[in-house]
Amino acid sequence: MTFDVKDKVVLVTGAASGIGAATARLAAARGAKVIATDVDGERIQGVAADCQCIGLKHDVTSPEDWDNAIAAAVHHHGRLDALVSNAGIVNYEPIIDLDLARFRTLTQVHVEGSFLGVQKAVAQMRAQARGAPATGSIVLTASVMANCAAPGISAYAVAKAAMANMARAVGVELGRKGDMIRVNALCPGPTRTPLLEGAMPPGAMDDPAHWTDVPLGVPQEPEDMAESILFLISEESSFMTATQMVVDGGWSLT
Amino acid sequence: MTRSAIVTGATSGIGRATALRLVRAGFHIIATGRNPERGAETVRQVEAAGGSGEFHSFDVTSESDWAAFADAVTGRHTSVDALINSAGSFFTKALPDTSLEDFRELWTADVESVVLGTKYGFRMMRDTRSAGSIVNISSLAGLIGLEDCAAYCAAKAAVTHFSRVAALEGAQMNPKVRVNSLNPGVIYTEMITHAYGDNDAVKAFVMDGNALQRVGTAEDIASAATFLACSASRMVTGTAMLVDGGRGAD
Ligand SMILES: NC(=O)c1ccc[n+]([C@@H]2O[C@H](COP(=O)([O-])OP(=O)(O)OC[C@H]3O[C@@H](n4cnc5c(N)ncnc54)[C@H](O)[C@@H]3O)[C@@H](O)[C@H]2O)c1
Repeated sequence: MTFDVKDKVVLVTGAASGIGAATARLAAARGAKVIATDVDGERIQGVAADCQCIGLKHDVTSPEDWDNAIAAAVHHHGRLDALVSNAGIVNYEPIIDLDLARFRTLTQVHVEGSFLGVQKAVAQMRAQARGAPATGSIVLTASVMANCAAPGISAYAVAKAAMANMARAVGVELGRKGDMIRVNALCPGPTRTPLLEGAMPPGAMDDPAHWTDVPLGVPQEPEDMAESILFLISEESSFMTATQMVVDGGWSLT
Repeated sequence: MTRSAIVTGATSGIGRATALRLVRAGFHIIATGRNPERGAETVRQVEAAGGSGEFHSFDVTSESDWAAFADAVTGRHTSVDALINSAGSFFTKALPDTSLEDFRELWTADVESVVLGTKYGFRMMRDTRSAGSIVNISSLAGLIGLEDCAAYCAAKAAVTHFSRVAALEGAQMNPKVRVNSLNPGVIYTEMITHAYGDNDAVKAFVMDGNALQRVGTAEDIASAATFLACSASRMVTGTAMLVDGGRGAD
């Protein structure tokens, strides 16, 4: 059972790894025209080769890189239908030790990166609509940490809360302006990717005991996030905007 | 093996649209409702869409009806993969005019029906050893306030939170059962047109409250219910999925 994304032009950031790579792969497998981008210009080419799609080096904190990425979508496929703003980093550090430079880097990647992406994607979606109401879907990969807490990730939690409420604020604004561009936040719980693995003791991720906190009791895979992202891109979610979609196996329930 | 999905309130609106959408996801449809004629029409539409279906007439607020229905289903089907609790009721009335009887009627129709549905859904899934998904149709009104709808808002808030706790219990089962609430904004179905009328002014009013400038349809909710029912949402449990055109966000 799949939700149709065939022929949609989809730009995915942070696509060299984890959730972004899974999203690019699944979207391509279902017939979407994918532009896969990442700050890691080498690894992104591997994903692009798998997906037979365009792969670009793209630092989401750089306005010029955003212009290039969107220009590539338009150059190769004539338009942009969806943006998945997914690039991310994490920093585990008590607030007392966190220095301003690291705090800024974290908010730059997540918050400024998403801000630039939304602004440039909306401009392109409006331009290609040629006066008709613009259409499109933007998904910001936030986190359950937008609404929860754990020791040591205050900076990340702040950045993710900003992304989740960006989806809400921008979703309302665009709808009220008469556009049919939808903006939603995906809020993943702990997901088996290099980002999480890097923050855990070696081997912990494959230890079933680690996942007992999750009511559904099995690791969440990047593909689980990709499925939800593709639902949010498909026309079947066309009445969803400004929402947060939580995919966490029940992790945030207790 | 064919997967089967139970849809309550499948004789109209969101329930019927969901039954028809689930056909396209490959489910056999077990439709329920109180009106056999309209139930037969749902089954006819299911078959016209290339699916298979059956209709059971019973009252979702009666525990003995649920027990008999559950026996009938588990006697006939080897798996119960999804249950969409869509049957419900609505009225708008200022609080000073709302009698205790009014309140109880809505509470029974909207909350007790879902509590019983989830309880017997768990039993049917347990007895058929199905890793099923239960979707309780709540409302945006269960998350934010709606004028002159205190009884409805209270009932839908109860459905939303009940579903979170049921998700924890479902996760203890073997195989595990997922439970989510689906919270639609204002959807243009008979539930709305019965209360407010069916004309352009009502449509404009309904649309105006949404960020996205269009009317919400039963098909919008059917798509989301189907997402929650199928394996694409394998790790989604205990959430309140909002499909409201951005109405609740501002
Ligand atoms: N893994 C989890 O448990 C989890 C949970 C909630 C949310 N998330 C979020 O999901 C998103 C994807 O994370 P993941 O788990 O797949 O991590 P990942 O580390 O596997 O992938 C993240 C990718 O983003 C890229 N990236 C980092 N900085 C960048 C920049 N400035 N410009 C462009 N690309 C950049 C990295 O090179 C990497 O390829 C992130 O936003 C993350 O915060 C992850």
